[in-house]
Amino acid sequence: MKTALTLFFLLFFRHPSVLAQAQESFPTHYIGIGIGYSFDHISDQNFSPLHQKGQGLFYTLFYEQRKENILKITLTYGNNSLKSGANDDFTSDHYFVDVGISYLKNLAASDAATKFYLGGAYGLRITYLDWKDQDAFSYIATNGLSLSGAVETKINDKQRIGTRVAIPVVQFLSRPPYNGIDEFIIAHQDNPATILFNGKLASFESYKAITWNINYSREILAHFNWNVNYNFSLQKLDQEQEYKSISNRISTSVLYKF
Amino acid sequence: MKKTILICTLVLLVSCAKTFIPKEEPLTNSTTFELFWTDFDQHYSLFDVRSIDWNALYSSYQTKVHEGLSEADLWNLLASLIENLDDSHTVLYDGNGHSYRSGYVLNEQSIAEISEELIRTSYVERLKEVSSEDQLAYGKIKGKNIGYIYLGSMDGQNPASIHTIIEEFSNVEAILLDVRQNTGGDDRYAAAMAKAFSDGKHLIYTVATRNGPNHDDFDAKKNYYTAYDPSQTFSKPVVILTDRKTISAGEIFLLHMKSFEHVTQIGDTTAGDFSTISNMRFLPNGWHYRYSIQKVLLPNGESLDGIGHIPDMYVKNTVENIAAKEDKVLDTALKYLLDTYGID
Repeated sequence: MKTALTLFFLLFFRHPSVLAQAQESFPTHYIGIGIGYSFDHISDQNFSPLHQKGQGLFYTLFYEQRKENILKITLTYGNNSLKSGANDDFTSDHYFVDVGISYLKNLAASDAATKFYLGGAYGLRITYLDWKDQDAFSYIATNGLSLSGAVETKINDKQRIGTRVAIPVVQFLSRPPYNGIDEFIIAHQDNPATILFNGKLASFESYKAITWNINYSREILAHFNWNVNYNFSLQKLDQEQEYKSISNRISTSVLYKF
Repeated sequence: MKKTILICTLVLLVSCAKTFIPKEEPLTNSTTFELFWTDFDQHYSLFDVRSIDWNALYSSYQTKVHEGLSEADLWNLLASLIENLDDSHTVLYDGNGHSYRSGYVLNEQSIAEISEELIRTSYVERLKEVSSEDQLAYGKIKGKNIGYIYLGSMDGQNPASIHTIIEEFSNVEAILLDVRQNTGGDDRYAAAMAKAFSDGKHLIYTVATRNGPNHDDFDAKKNYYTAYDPSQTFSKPVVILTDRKTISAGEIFLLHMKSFEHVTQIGDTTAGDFSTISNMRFLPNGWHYRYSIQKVLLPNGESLDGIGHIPDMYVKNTVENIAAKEDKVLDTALKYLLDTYGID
């Protein structure tokens, strides 16, 4: 953990002039909007001894600034229905929101065709499960810092393919209490943000997650790019009431370049 | 080669969901029973308070479970298992509109022991309903300077509406506060309603929520006090009327009310089910259920779970009383006000 944190801070604070340099040499900005399909498997013992699985649409908005290094801000929202058990009566609503800001520093030569990046990210990630208007509900909310690495290859002047991995290192984790409800939840039921941000620092032993992403980008017009994205995400929480989730998300997006 | 590696990696990741997420529980009678019993064992809060030997019940019931049991037989077996808890917050649902509620026989009987029509026609001058609230109505007792309030649930949106009623009752000499058949709801609503009758700040109960696999694993107790606003309180005599179906937040309301000096409880003993109920829990065959997850204790550490609020004056109606247009509970309350305070 200490090594990861040291690396994280070194990357961001060793060269305080990184952002200033980028401003001097005209970085490229992108604003993008995307739509995708998510395939989700969740096993949340706090919610149910039965597994939940389903799929549905999700939407993304993002801003990206590229030059030598990459700054990206992303908002993802999706909701779908998850099924479990012997009949459809147990179909529950599944909502997820991911907000992230990442900064990746290029480690390769500026003119290299393949570039290697290393950096960090802050992310807020909320998953909420609800059965019949809160007759049963559960959630997992994390916010904190991740280490992130990426590789990108220029196929030609108009096409690029890249992959990125992020592993959380310091996360505040919020989960329902052992029995799903307690006096804190009851007292703050009208203010869900208080419940979702009532997180505790999670140890690396108890909370593990990884997101892996493959991205293909093609310039379709002078100011427009088209992206295809595959995202794999895994979360595992080792507590008395275990939580595991796997998501496979495929999406496409259009980016305006300026 | 690169393409092959990429495709293989994708296939591997997609298929790893099956290994990462453990296998589903099989749909058998044994699995259903084991999940049901174990979930109660690890989460239900009142084994000690209600003196339940859950392990002994396992030994007794598990031997009756086999794959030859019909769905109806298994249902009856699980219903019979939870009947031992005598806790009407414990309910089993089949998902097709049928349910079984533990310890509910007396509660159910009491439905026929009160008549709204009788109250409207024989006891209250004009029963006005508060449209914004759930089952809140009021009026004056016929021919007497006594107010009557019916509060049938704790699920209203605006507890401040009680102050409007009390303002209208500013000249009455006493209030009959009828919480018979009060099905509960939000404890905070109960506290806000009770504040309108408060005579001070009193420690009235503590709540601890089960937070671990052992039967005695509970989080820290949270203390609850009555609220008090001397400028907005009804301090003349109040008689609170109860029956077996006064339950849950309705009983929390009584914890508040009975701490006030000028309040008297008349009627039947209440249900004795105080805890917040759990989220819905699920079984592979489509059945689902709920149970109690908290321990509500009096300041002296005693519990009223399984006991209920014992009235200061015990009286209950029979079906025959109601048929004879007689509400003995209301009659007794009116006689009490006359005998004790000379209020007529």
